[in-house]
Amino acid sequence: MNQSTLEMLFRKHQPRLLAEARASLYDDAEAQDVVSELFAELLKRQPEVEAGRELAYLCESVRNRCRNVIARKTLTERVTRLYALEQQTENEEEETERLDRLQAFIRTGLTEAQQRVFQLRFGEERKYREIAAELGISEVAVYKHLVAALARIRNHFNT
Amino acid sequence: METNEKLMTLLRLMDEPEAMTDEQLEELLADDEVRNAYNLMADCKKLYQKPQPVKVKWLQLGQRFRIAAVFLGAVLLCGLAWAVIPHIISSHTDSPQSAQVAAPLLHREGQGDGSSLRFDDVSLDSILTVVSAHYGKVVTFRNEEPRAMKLITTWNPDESLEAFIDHLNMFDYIHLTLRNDTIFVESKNEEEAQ
Repeated sequence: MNQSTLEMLFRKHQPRLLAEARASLYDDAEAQDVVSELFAELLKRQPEVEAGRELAYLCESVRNRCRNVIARKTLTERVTRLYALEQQTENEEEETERLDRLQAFIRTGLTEAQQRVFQLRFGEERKYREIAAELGISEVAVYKHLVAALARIRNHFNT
Repeated sequence: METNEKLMTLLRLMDEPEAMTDEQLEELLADDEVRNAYNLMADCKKLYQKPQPVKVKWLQLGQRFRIAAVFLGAVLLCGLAWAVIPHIISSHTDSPQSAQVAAPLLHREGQGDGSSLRFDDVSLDSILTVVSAHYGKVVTFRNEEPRAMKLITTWNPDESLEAFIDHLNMFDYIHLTLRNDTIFVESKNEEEAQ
């Protein structure tokens, strides 16, 4: 891949690659760094990539770089951002399937209140006290909803 | 400590990172049940934060809007690219080529049949460039802070400009007013925003 090919690939795939990095890091600035550094390195190395496999190669490179970014963080930083503790060895398709199954169960197997707590916590990253205020319940009730919902999901997928 | 108690402790600590040490966490996560529950939460976050496909749909908005939209497309497409690529590619291209990059994107996104346009993390300046062109108004920023503010919002070009301004005024820290043919934009101070 020469400079002009890389420039074309950057323009064409940058949004997808940024989305890929954001999906792992949940941080726009870090995601942009990962994508920029990847292209900086590719410009230096100019590796040969099979025609038609460029996007797959770039996505995998972004995922690897994100894993490295996460691995360099302390345990506290990782837990605060809710990064997975174990590196998944599955490919993108397997992960999508697993998350689709999880999503399907959340929709059908959790109560509305539990789903709302999930949305506020995992989707909007609200603090527990904010969730409690939004739903008009105590913080302890928020914890209990989370713990009960997680137990229900685990029971479902362990059987 | 029971597993559920440990999990509750972990949940509390996750909200107060300053109260955590790696040692405390290692101790909590040594419990398999807690570790599994944590990993499940990580999956849930991944699921809830999975990028959703953005449906950008362009109606028959007329030539003037189309020109503005090409400009917005160029901003959207090239904004980040130009922010990054000069550092790594010395021979970057000039603005006419930027517009050429934007056009195919608009064409591709123009296949939809809905009525709303979604702005996903787009600066207020760029949003108002498109919107003001559609309604034939001009924009005046009374101070510079709101100009670069990035918003995620939708706009239905079939609705009135007043309705869209009311919608934007629901955001913290910005205030828009329409006087005659001018949209005035200013930042709200923090007290007003709250």
